Amino acid sequence: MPSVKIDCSQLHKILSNSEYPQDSVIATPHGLVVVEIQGVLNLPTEVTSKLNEERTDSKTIIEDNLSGVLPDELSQQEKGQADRMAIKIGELQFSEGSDQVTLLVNNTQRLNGTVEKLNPPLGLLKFTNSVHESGKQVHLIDIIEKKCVFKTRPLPV
Amino acid sequence: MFTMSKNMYSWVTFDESFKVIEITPELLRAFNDQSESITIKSPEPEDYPVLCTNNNSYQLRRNNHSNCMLVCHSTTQGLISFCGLNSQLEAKLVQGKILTQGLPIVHENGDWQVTSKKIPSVGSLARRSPISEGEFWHSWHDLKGCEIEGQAVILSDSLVSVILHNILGVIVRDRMGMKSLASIELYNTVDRLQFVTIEMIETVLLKFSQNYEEPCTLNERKISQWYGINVLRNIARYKSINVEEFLIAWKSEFPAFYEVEIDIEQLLGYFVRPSAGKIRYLDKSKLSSDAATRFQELFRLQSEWNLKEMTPYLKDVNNRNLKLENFVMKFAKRRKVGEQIIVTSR
Repeated sequence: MPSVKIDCSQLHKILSNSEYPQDSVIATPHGLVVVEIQGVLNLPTEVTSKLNEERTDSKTIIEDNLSGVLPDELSQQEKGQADRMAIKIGELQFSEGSDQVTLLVNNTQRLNGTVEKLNPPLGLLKFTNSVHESGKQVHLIDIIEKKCVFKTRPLPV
Repeated sequence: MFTMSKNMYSWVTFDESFKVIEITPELLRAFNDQSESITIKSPEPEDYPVLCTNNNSYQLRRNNHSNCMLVCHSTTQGLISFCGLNSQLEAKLVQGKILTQGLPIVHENGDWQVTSKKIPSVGSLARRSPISEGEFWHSWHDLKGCEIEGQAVILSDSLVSVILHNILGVIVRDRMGMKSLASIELYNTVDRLQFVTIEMIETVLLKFSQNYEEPCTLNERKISQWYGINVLRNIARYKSINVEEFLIAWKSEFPAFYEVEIDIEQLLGYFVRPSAGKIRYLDKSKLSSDAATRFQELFRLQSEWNLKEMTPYLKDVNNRNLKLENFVMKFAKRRKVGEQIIVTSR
């Protein structure tokens, strides 16, 4: 029966380091934000030539490598992989001292939602295929205690 | 009110190597504690994976939902979602189990069947079984587990009885008392059979101890129950027997001058009362795992049950953890007679 160890060192680092902000409205101290929408978000499955044209002008497409999200040792392994393409889906608006959030999708639809406390909180786990020297294969990236939930139907902007 | 706005991006193809797990307060404590070693043990094909902390085991079940949960990270360009999840893992506290299947059984004469299959060591068995390390050592000795020549084996009931009988004999003879017992000390004094090793003595000692570590304090209730079950199985397996007759047989089984309290209630879950004043051995493992059939079988053996005596036979079929009285109502009738609850068939 195979077994894998969960590496919690990143969580210990976040908890012991006061540099991580503790009071963000929507984000975890590590900077993660969870957005939950009802149904499915339809995204292009590949970057088309049309999207490529918009790339430089409006920053519709950017490249991302999860910098700062994964533990340092894991980032080195992951850096071997090419950067991922990310496409702009909209804009998230929120206010200090309020639990109301708004998601504008492509400037055509508006979703109104709230910031909810998760009970129980969720742990984000990263499963890696490569076996590290110490045998670690699963990393606990962060503990998520709140999420932005959009339960209502989209409204026109 | 100061409103903030962030551009939101999403990866075109999500990273599927991320999962989320519901974190109970006990799990959160374990994750925060640097001394905890946390592992996920992959299951047998038909089983759920198990997450093990130092002392607890949690069954992991995947709960799907129809919502789309995007996990984003903050960058200078905005929020970028890198994984979209429509399920989360639920961690349910369970009792871990040891994979004893295929382990050799050592019989009363010291023989054990050697198979061609490679027998794991106890350490290896602990690592591969879906159970936390703390639970493993408690359960391992309860299961009569032992290590012989680097191989994990199970001691047979009859061998355990012989060793226990000898240990109790020495304790009485040398007036050692039930506390602060060490296996090495007993190994040197017990009139043992030739093949009995110190590890076997240790297994028996820990199986009947209160504290699961040496020096041990023996639990006399566990000892009297062990003797009671064996006597019941030997003399009342195929025919019922008078309760008084059984109690005399039980009492006479202990080593000479060993005084211990016996009570029929210690054997709840091992007998039925086919008629007034009589009992008969019942092997729970032979009963159906289906609740309705289990009730039918129990009523066939005994038409009227005291709920207290019926309870041990129902725990493993009450899968939804209903309050026991409510669970019984689904399959049988119950009535109150004084302080007692009597259960009969419908």
